Amino acid sequence: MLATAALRAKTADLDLVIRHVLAGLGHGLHIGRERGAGVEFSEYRAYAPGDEWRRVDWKLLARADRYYVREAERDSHVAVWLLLDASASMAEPSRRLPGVDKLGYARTVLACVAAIAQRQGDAFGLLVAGGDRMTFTPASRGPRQMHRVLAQLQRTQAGGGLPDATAVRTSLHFARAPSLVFAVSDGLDWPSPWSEALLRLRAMQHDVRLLCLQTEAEAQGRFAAGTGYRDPEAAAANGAAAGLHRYDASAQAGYCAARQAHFDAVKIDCRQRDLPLHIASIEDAVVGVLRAWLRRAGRA
Amino acid sequence: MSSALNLWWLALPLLLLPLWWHRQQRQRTQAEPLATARFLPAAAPQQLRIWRWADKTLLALRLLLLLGVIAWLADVVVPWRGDTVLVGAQADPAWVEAQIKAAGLTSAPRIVFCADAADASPAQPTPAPPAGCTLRTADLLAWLAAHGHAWRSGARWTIVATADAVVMPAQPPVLAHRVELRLQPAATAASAPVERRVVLASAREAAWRALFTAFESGGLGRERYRMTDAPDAQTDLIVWDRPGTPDPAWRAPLWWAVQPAAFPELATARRAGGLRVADAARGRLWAQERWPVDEADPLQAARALFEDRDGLRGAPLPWPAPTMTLDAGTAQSDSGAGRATGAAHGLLAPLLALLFALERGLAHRWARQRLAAATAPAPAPAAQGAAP
Repeated sequence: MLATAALRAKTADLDLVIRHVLAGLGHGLHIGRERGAGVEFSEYRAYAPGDEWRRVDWKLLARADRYYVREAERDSHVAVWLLLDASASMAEPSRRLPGVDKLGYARTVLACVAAIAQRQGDAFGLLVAGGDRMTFTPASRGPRQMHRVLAQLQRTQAGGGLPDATAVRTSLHFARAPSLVFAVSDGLDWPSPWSEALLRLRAMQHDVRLLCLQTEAEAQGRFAAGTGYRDPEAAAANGAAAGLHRYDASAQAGYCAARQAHFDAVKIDCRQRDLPLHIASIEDAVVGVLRAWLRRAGRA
Repeated sequence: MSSALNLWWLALPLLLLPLWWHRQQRQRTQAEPLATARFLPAAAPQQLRIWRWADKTLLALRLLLLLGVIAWLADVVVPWRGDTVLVGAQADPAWVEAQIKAAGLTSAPRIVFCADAADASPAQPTPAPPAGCTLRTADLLAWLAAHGHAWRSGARWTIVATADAVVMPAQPPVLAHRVELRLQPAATAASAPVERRVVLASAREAAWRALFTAFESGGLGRERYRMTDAPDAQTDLIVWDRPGTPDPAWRAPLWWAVQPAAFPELATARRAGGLRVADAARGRLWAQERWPVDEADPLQAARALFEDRDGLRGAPLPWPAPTMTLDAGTAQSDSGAGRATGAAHGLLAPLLALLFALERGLAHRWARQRLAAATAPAPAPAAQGAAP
């Protein structure tokens, strides 16, 4: 039930949402470089909240009356990086479903990816681009890292613009090791230092997967007429009076054409650089979007 | 009438109109954030309008103006008076002070009233009111019943006056507040007897003088009769009791025509029992068919004469009220006590005029400022916004 967008908008507990989404997702769809939750026993570790119950050693529980988790010895060189666009334009709400916005949707999707990575035993980290700067959470494994990432995601607010080229470049020091990069954005700032960084990562043979979020109203070009509209990022940069636009019935065709041209350019860019791109509406169920994104990425 | 006026209070939601209007002015310039606004055609940068002090002052003025108009239409009255002493202008000041002190109302505000407003007939010009007379009414209790809404709940009225200053009403008045009448007895009233000038044109002058002397004693010395031979400007009555016609130049408010043949106007006069009354250029003529009265039964004759006289008079004679206390009535709707009678109009009219002048002045001044700001060259490119 939580998979429907309207209900998810009312659920603040990201962990609960992840469980429901992953339960609906099933197994075997998500692509990981290493499968299985560890086959070679390494050590016992005290149970921490967030650990899967199936990894608890029940025989040891019967003997010691304490919960212990079996840690598997694995040597994974692949890290999963979650890149979140938290610029002001990501605060765009759904005009159909109250309480649903792009940032919340992206937050849910990335949390699900993080949960999958954690289930697989991969290290994962988070990069949030917003407020003209990058917020970096180093990659690590385990439930505590999951909590760190979820907390950072919950803290993130949409605001400001994307960071400049220098800030983006300095935060990409992780690019030396092979990694999977899951980036969620609205694709409106393209080209930009942000998009250049994604294409550059792809050129460095990282597995980059981009999810572009849109709303139904944006896709169809249907807004309330007679109201002034302003670009939130232009307004943040140049003052509240800057970037004023109008919308009426005659402007719909021009709007759709301009938007289509923009995303055509984005698609061409991604196709030329072999970067898998998936465009989804935030009014759609997270399960379906996640499944389609991962499947599409797997094919790519 | 009162309930219909109160319906004007239903117009109070009109106060939302200026609020809505001012709100509209602000909303019109607001723009919603839209992530894909860059794909929309650019609009001319609108001047961002904010709530300035003039805006809020204008709103407050317009609300007050509307409220004042509604209050004017609803004829609102706010009770503001407390315990009050109503002092008759003719009463003895020393006696008045003693009575007020006995009533414990030395600090209460006083209203000096004169009971002579309606007593003056057209023939008798109204005398000048005594100094300090703030209220002139013939029937003080009726005035209190009509204006009781100006007093707060629980307020008391105390009337301190001479006995003839307050007229006894025919029915108990229903008043909004308790009223206590402290009336100076007539015997101790410091009023001088009124002099009436009478012209006696009669061969039976001694009998007439005896009759008027009897009137003086019967009137408890309130009136004195001065007999003259020819009328002057102060003459009140001419008694015509001789054959022949009177001098055409004679004028008096009242003629007692014992010989009616001398007055042709009485032929067509209206009758009331045995009395005939006619209004002529020389004055009101009054004739009695049977005069002198029947001495066999003088009491019956006097009663008949009195009834005839009452038949001529429209209103009953005023009767002085005794010293008493009237409690507050309950039948408010019948009496009119508490009914609004436009008492607040005097206060609201200048207030509304002032508010209107302020509102217009401020609105015009603000409009001029906006016009000057709109026609002035743009101060800075940053304020104009980024138009692609």
